[in-house]
Amino acid sequence: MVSCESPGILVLTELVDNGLLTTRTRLLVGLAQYLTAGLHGELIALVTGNGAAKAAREAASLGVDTVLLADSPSFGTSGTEALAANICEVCAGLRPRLVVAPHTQAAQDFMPMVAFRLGTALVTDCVGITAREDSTLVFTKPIYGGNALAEFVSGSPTTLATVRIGSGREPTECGHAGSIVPVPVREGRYRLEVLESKHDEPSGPVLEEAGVVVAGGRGLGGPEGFDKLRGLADTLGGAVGASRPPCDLGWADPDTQVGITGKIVAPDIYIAVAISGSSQHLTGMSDSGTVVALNNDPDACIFNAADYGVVADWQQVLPAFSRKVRELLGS
Amino acid sequence: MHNGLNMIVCVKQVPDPEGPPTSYRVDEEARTVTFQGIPPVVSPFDENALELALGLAGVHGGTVTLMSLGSRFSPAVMLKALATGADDLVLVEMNGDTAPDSFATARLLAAAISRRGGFDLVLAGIQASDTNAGQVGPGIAELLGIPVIPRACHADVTDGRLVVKHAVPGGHETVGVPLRELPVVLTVGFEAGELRYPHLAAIKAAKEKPQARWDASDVAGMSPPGNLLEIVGLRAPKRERRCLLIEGDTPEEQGESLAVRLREDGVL
Ligand SMILES: Cc1cc2nc3c(=O)[nH]c(=O)nc-3n(C[C@H](O)[C@H](O)[C@H](O)COP(=O)(O)OP(=O)(O)OC[C@H]3O[C@@H](n4cnc5c(N)ncnc54)[C@H](O)[C@@H]3O)c2cc1C
Ligand SMILES: Nc1ncnc2c1ncn2[C@@H]1O[C@H](COP(=O)(O)O)[C@@H](O)[C@H]1O
Repeated sequence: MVSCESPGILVLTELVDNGLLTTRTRLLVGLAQYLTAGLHGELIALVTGNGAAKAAREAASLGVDTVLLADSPSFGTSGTEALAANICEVCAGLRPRLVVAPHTQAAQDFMPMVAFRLGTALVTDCVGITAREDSTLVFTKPIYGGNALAEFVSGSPTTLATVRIGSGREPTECGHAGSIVPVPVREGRYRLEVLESKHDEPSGPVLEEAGVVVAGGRGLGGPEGFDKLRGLADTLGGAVGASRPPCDLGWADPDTQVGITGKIVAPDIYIAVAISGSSQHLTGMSDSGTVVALNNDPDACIFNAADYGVVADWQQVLPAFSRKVRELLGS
Repeated sequence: MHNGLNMIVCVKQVPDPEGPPTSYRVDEEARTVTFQGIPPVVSPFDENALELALGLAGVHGGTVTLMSLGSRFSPAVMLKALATGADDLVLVEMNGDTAPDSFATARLLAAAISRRGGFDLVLAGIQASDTNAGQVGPGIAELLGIPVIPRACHADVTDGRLVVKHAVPGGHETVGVPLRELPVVLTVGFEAGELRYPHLAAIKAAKEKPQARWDASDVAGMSPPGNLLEIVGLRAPKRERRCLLIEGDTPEEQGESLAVRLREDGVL
């Protein structure tokens, strides 16, 4: 068991296929670094994965005091059980004040397991964590589908949170590298037999980390509309997203759903095509830089959440818009 | 041969989440959200969970029990859910005004599920539309010491196994659990399909189905679990932006002007 003199914050990291940290993990380290200053504890990161040494070095260079490296093939797919077991082990040793993970589908699976196993509080999908003067932590999260933001304080010695990408910050230069400590890996017992496993070929940039997202809604009227969005997204080097109805209806891959029960995105540019702007959708993209809305209903809620709007039939606007964008960008 | 699966579906009563944002009033002082003109409904993903259970019962037999924890239950909401084909209803009633957090909710539901006993599957929504927490399903599984299969899309029984297709990050996975190794918990989202609509006759008949009312403090034993999280503030989100509407004589012209404007403003 790993232990630590003055436990502060434990950051759970997420890796990209190339073995580096995801952007949202880096931004979460930045947030944790900021919070640690007020908590007078150590900043610790747990890097789990198969061949994760590179990510551990990256974390150490970001100003993390200690990087715990759990390198094992058991963190592959279906690794939820293994992850949960190892995180519990590390938490039991460290007793950190706060354990944070990027808000992802994977975290939504393993964090409740860890929380209930340890009997500690968990706040999922935080849009903010702040420390009061007395160092009490306040967790802000959307409730009622994003119609309200609630602030929670926790009564348990350790509190877990999953955090949205938009609430992170760039880590500040600290000039020294943290130490990397390999930790023993407890083999998690996956209690279910996997009969079949299908992984989608990623096409284009990862939705949550894309600089541009072109998203379509029910008003696209069918899957063909998404091919047109894909064209524009390719021109802009962006990703395609969707509101929920197209995912329900099979027009779009459910993995591209943006919103409270889908992906949380914060691109520089979010283009919403034929999306009405329900609170469940808006809460998933309202941290975006510039929001552009195309909708033929002038009263659609999306216009209240947009910086630029066109009130017209998307079928007529989009081709002209895409053509002009290609021309202007010279591509 | 097995005699079908005995299933417990956790259903929560919530204000209709499809109601317009204007129907939600955030009272910052009282730290509560109030609703105007929207009816209570079963939380949408719990409906999907119920549909998955009814589908399994339809093909393989078995029973479907609805279980709900709360106060001020609407008889109409629960009857409608019963009428879709569930066998019985257990209401676990709380008194007091403080809503239980995820931790207390999972503990109370796990206790109620244990008290009920004799179940093969527990189904819950991936998240409730009011808390947006996504904790109670996996929480119940941990507290009962059984596995959870998150985001189940489809379930079937073949060769003495429960076979579940579920969404995993970046794809799908199909897992099998020998029937003798049940129970497990499934969490369910919209992929499982919309809940069938009850006939009017079924709604009338649902009144005759068994309904139990349990007191939450009995279920929990001597000391009801307290909350780990306390709500200390509540506010409405600020997402208002000033929208510049791009005009033009034709939609094509509007589209082109939009591109030019975005370029000029340095957005593109
Ligand atoms: C618990 C729960 C969770 C949910 N989670 C999510 C989530 O994560 N993400 C999400 O997106 N939703 C979610 N929803 C659903 C959400 O409430 C809305 O139903 C959904 O976002 C609406 O999608 P939409 O805007 O595409 O469709 P609609 O509301 O039907 O809007 C379609 C829009 O297209 C416009 N339109 C139609 N034709 C044209 C045209 N030719 N040209 C231009 N515009 C056109 C219409 O004016 C309209 O504004 C959730 C709901 C619940 C209850
Ligand atoms: N009070 C409740 N009564 C019945 N089921 C509940 C209750 N609260 C939560 N659940 C179940 O747990 C799921 C997840 O809830 P939550 O963790 O609050 O997002 C819901 O979709 C329900 O299936």
